[in-house]
Amino acid sequence: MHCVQGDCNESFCTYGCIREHAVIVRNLVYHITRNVNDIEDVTQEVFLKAYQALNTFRGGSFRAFLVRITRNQCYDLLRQRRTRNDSTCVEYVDEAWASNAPGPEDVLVNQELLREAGTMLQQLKAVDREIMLLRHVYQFSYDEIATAVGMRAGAVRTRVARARQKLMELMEGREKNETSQLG
Amino acid sequence: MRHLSWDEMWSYMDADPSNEPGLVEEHISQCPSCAAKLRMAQEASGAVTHVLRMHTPPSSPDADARLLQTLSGVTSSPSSRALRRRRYRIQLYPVFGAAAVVFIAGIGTYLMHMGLAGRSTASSGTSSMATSAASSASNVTAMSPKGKQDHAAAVATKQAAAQTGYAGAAVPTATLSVHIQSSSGHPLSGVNVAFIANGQILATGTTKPNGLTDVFYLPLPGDPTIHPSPGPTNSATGTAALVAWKAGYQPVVSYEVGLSLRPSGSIQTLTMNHSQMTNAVQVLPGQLTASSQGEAFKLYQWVSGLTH
Repeated sequence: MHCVQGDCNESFCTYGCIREHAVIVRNLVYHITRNVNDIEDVTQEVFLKAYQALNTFRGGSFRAFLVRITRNQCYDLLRQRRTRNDSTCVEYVDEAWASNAPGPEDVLVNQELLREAGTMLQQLKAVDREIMLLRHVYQFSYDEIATAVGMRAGAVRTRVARARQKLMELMEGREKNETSQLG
Repeated sequence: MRHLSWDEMWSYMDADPSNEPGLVEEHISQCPSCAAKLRMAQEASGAVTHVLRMHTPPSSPDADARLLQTLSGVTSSPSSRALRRRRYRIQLYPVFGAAAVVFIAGIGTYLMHMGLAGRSTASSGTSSMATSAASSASNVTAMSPKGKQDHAAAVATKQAAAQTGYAGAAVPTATLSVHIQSSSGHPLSGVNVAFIANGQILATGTTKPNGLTDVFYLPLPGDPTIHPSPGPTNSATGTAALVAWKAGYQPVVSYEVGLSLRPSGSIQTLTMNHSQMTNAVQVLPGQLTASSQGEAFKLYQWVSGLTH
């Protein structure tokens, strides 16, 4: 893949559009650190490190290579701050969804479903949330995710399947409740 | 009839290449239970994607430009060249070392062969070589902290710029995500979507298997005040529209565009209908035929064929 826009950094253009890569890096930084103020700094650090480590890139998915650097950078930062907490640092159940005000989201999915998805994500380990982010939002392949998080592709597949299974159980439970209430 | 498992449905939605083509479609066309389960899985997938996407703040409008500037500065800066030189020296250092050993051994052998008691000469030569090697090594070690300092300075500058740029956020960014569905309510993937305002394309995207585009980040005019309607003091400034197109479907143009100032972005849903008409378009590169203000641009010849 080669970026065709041609007005970016030549060292990275070889590996696709740096703007698209930057979106993934920024979002992952935020999902791991949960700190808006870290986004730009860490993103720049990631690309600087990637540039310095370009000679160690042995082909394959460049974005997986970037994500791996991003994770390392973020977890180093969190270790320095000693604030990492897998189970409680993320609040995926947003107050905005609890609001009764109808929003454009209603068109796509109802609030209840979003809340359940948020609950499910909140129950996941941090690494599983990252895997779901890479898989669902950026359509990473299992091999790419495996490279990025340092697991085997089979293990990644299993984790994604478990998370999805949990979500479906939540949804099925909701449907049964609705049915019993109607009955 | 065996029902589809959740794994098979997710695999189908993932467009797993190992799936047997048409198997799931054929099954769900005959099995309302599995069709309902598939719809549920699609909704769940859309919800997970939406929640994960919703929790991502928009980047500042000039974030990409600053990142590119940063990298451009680093890759062409003296520290970067020093970095490359350092790597080069580090790689060559063992070669030089080996060559020096061979050279010294050769001189020693030669002197011994000549029967000269040149121990002092040889050791002087060795010492000279050692000094040279040490000098080379000191260059390597001396380069390292300087490179680090330059790098740290570059990063600090960029971080300062990034912080001021992000924290300032003088230009608010509106967000918008587009969801495309078929007339039967199923999400459509591979649909091209463009957001156009005042005749300019401000954002483009393609829908994913869940029917959603990535969030469009749209810088608003400098004054973030949003006027409810055009009036004597705030006349209408232009027209915005969303355009969606995909082969085999009738293109859609929507003038009702709902932007959001929330990071998650609003989602606008458009419905596309199948088109009986095949609209095949082929783009052929044309010749350089015109220039404007010194900047040549390329014209493309569009060949459009309409067949029923």
